[in-house]
Amino acid sequence: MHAHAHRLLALLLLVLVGLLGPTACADPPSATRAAASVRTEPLQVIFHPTTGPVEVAIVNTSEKPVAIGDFRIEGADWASFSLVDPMQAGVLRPGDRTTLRVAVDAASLRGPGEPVHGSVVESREELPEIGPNDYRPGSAYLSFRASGTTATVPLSLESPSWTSTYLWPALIKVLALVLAFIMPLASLLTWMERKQSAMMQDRVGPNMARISVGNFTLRAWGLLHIATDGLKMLFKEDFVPRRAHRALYTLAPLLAFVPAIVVFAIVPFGDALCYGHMFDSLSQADVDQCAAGRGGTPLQIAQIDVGLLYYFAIASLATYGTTLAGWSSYNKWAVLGSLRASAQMISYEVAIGMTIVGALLVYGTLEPHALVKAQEAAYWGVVLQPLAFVLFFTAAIAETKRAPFDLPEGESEIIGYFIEYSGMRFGLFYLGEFIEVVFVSAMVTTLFLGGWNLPLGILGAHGFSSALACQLFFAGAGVALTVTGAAIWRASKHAEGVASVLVVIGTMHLVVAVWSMFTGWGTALPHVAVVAVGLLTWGLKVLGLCWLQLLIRWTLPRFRYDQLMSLGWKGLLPLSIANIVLTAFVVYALTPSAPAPAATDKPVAEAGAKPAAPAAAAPPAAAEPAAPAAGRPAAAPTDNKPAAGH
Amino acid sequence: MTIGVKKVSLQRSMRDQIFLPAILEGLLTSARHFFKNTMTKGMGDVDTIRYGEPDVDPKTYYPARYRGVHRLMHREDGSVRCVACMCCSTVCPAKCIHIVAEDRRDDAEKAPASFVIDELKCVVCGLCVEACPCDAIRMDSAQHMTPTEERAEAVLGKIELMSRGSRSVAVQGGHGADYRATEPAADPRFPTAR
Amino acid sequence: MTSSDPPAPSRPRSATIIMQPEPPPPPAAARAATATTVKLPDNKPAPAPAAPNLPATPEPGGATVKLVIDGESLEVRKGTNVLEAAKLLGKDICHFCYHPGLSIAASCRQCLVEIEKNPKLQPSCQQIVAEGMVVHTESPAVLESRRALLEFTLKNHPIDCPICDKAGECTLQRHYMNHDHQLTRVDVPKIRKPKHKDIGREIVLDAERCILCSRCIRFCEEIPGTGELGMTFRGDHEILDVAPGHPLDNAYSMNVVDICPVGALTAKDFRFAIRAWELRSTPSTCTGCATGCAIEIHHKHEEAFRLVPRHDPDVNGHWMCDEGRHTYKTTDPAKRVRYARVDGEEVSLGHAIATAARRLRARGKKVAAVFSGTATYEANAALADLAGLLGAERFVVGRAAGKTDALLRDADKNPNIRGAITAAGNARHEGELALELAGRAYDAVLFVDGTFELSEVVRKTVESITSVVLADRVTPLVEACTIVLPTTSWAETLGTMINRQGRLRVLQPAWRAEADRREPADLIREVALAMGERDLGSSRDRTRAIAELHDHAELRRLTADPVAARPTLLRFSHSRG
Repeated sequence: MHAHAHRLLALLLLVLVGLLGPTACADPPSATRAAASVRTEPLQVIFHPTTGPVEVAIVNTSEKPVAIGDFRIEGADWASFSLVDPMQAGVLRPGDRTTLRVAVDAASLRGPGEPVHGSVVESREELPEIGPNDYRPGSAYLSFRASGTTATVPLSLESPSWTSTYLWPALIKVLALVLAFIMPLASLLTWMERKQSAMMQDRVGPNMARISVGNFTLRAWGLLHIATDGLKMLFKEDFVPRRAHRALYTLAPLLAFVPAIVVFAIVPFGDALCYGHMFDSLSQADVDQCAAGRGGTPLQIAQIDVGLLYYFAIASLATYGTTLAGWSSYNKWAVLGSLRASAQMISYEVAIGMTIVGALLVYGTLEPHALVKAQEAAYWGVVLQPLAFVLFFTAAIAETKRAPFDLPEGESEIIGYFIEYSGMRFGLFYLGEFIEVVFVSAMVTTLFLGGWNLPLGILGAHGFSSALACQLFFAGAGVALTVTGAAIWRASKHAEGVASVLVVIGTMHLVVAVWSMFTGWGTALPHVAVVAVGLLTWGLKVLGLCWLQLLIRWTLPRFRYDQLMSLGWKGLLPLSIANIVLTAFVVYALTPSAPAPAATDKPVAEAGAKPAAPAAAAPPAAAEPAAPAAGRPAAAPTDNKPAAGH
Repeated sequence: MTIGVKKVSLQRSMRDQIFLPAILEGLLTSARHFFKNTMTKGMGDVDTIRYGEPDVDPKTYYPARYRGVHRLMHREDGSVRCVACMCCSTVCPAKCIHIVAEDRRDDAEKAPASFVIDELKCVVCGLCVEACPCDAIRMDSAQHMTPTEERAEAVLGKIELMSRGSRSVAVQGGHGADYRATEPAADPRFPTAR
Repeated sequence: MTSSDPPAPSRPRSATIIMQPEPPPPPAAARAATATTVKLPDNKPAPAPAAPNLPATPEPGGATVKLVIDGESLEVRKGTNVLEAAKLLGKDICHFCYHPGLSIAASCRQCLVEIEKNPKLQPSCQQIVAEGMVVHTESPAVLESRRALLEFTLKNHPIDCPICDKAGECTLQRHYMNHDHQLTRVDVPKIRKPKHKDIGREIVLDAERCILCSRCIRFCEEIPGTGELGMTFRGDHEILDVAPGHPLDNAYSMNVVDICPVGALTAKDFRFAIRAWELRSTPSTCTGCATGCAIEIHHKHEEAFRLVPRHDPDVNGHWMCDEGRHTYKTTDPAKRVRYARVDGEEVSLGHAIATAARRLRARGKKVAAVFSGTATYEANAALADLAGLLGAERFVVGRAAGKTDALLRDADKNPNIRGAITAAGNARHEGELALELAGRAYDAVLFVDGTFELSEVVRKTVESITSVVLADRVTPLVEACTIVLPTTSWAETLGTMINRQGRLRVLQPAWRAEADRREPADLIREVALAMGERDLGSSRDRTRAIAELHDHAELRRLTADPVAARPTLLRFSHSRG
């Protein structure tokens, strides 16, 4: 019966892909009124009252040289915007670019109400007080001539609203991240933990939970065990030991669970989402502008300059949950477990902090989003800081208190700090542990694996860096999906529906690769597609690291306590300090003695050319803390991708 | 006689001391099993027999001598075959069989007034079946002891044990009058004639 | 004298064993006449004519006979039969109908042996030893005849061992395993006979199992002399039966269960109660009457299931009365006093002892110490010491008189009345105690056990004054007393009693007393210590003193080494009959 369900699912997916495929392949509808021969980056400039001058690059996308000139600002509020530097007319060779800077005089737009458009408002009523943050929206456009036609770039001033610009997007991101990613993945891990260990140990694993309606039975490889586990925990007895400290006993699971969720606030799961340009092919400058909150929102809940410090601060709180759980349970085993946990946390948090210093030295920022951008610009952390990667991953696993570092639990000796907990109180510990696993994966992805980026920078903000990259990507993904689907088809007769879907999707990937070969398609993708691929990439990286953690957890035996301490204090800590020293020397050696200002007026392609591999430890862009952050000029010269100029 | 001392070198190579190669080897082994079992036909090395699957008839998987939940056999008239000889309770290593005997007003003379097996204590050794002189207790029910809500529910009484039983027509004392048809080989320890 | 004739082993062993055939138990009157006085460890002079329980020495003038059995020569008293002579050599010639306490029938033919210069095999039970006799008990002819006879015996035996109460201690089973051990060759139906016939107050007969040895018939004729049982019909239809209207209901009827070599006669009381192999056996003494028969307690864990007689030629021979067999019920676990009680409330033993000591010791109190004929000598002696410390008035009480006969039963149902009187010294009668208690002559009364029977008036007195009782089971007296100290029952106590002959009888603990139960003499010692008096000595000390005085090896062993008192498992170790 359920085989039919799988076939039905496959058909549905086929229809979806068939509908979306042409959409993705069609030329994206352009929102810009630029001439066909040139385009501007960004397509549209959005100012906030505090925004400084914004760079606008004009790129020749045609095959011929293009003459540009006659720059001017027009439109309703033309008086409020200005060109910073006087621009001369000139000729752009094919692929060349030039930049000009636009600024807004926000003070001239102070006041409430609609834009006045030059008319006189007569009112007998007293004008309301103008608050310090009251601005009216202003709009104008920059126009210039390019090969005989007039190109325009809309300019606008928006007053950021606390609710609509920050609160609601943040809430939506929180909900999306927690409900659509963390909780499902953590729940999935409870199943993966058992199923994967079973597969590793030549067992069957959970597979008995089922939903039966009449003749139809849904087993889904035991995935329903997630639901049955949840129900079980909800309905189990809520036991409190007689002499437990009730308040702390209740507080402890929350202290273990809440920080694990809250700490996700700094994790960037994508670059940025631009509201008005979902189906346009955007440049990096557009996305950076959105990432700064102007006309879009960064795909990160909170952009905090000291994001990694926030991580340490919040993650340490979870230790209180563990310690209090053990102490308040009035049970000697629990106290032993919590003592072990606190000692372990202290030992390994030092190592974590020290390893991150290396990345900080290389990339020059503590803000995770900027860190990812810096990796995108240079090399990923795992390449530049391989030792730090291993050390951080090890210490972070130790922080999750899972095997081989599960001494606080130590189920064969002392059941652990949560020995007295039952029902959903235990469930919080249990789920918190898996959320920590997800978080460790997300953090490693952010710090060392380039976040949402595909490797080698083959996917930029506008699409694939070249048609070849597009073909390689689709061919590789197609082969992988087809082979996996075929293997699953061979392996299990129950999974033929899913397997056929995989094969079909894989085949379609191959078709796309071939199509790209003939048409050169792929370098200009709609914004929404790029964001989706970024999210998918990030999700797959996190999932893969979760899988790796489970693999480690089910392969390595538990440390003895002295071994644990020895590894932490005598292994990880000295190594991480050595890593800092080494990194510092290399960074110092490769950094020019007088930090040269970034060559903003030169074609970015030259400025951002990648140095040889060892020298990449200190790319010029990273040497100066010029990474984009909230409130900074959006056009900071970080768009130094080698493939950016076409 | 001298005592030799064998010196065992406790020195470990650098490779052993940093552990990482060994850890990677272990991870690769685990991963190899993982992928083999998920990606190859018939779940790779997983040899588990799927007892309890709804489409699997346990009798096809249970060996003929599988020892399941006890059952008490019936006589021709449907009464219990057991004569309360206490052989099973005597031989039981877990002491989980408790029998109270009573008079039975026919030639069978003795019967269990109560016959209680605590399946939670039972170690499923099957000695009670071996010891039974009259084919009254068997464990060939091909049923597991199912989980119970209460411990008391796992303590099975005579009625419940008999509900699982069937009629046995085994002749008490062996072959009876037809013994010559299947006379076993003479025991050399006991010559039957001069 | 023909020791060279038999096919003897290469190195014939030679043993000289003097055997004294056992005299039948003397009638009660005679025993009373030969009563001795037991030496006791207090200062009372006690003439000790002959120490009891010592092995009898051969009379100097008794005639003896020399013979050879399986190559071993031995010397036995004249008139002994070959079977008993072989038994002295450790050779157990298998037999069914012979019983040392009964006349010889030689009907089962199971004990046939080969005697040189004799053309046929002879029944060893009937064959009296003669000078120079050479006997072979293991010759091929003997072995073959044994197996053949066993096969014949088993021809109509139903072999329903699973449902037979005798299984596990059955003579037929034992002989089959030792001497036959072959498959059946019978291919004709077995004769069906009455399977369970109620033939008396205590006995059920299974005629199918009966092998017609006639032991029970001889017992009924010779020992109680009632002769209820007999054989009817002939050939393989012959069955054991009682005459209509004359059931087997003499006072010794349950002995037929013991002597029955198979499970044909079973006791209603023991029927289906437990399998014999689950029981353990502890030697002890019957407390049913002043005779003090030697018995074995058959018990599992902490529960006795039956009492069977133990051979004691001086007191009870092989037998025991039905009344005595039922006294195991006095150890019923359901009626045990497990914990101390003060004023109706269960308290710790220490608290109860302290309370008893305080209330008994109060200045100016008149105290009565009540000795009992059902308590051990140790308990009574300890009470005597305490009574001396308290200056208490002494009384001796006991059970009411009951039925008697000339065989074993005594009208005095107190097993230790002589011991109690001896220990108490200058004691008064229980009638006086009842009168004085009714008159409220005492402020406190201390009972050494719960035997004393209460009238309504006395009960009210006992309830109102300080009344301490040392009790092992609940009786009306125990319910009335204000302080109850839990003691071991007679089956849990190591102690001594003095029977009507003045013989020392030993009680041996069959199992460990559970909960707060202690030996009564130990409790009295604790009470005295709680009063601040000198240490009276433990129960074990008193027993050891008696053992030393009497040079009683068995008793000394029991007091020295508690492990020796461990019971033996009754799985074929003692097959009865």
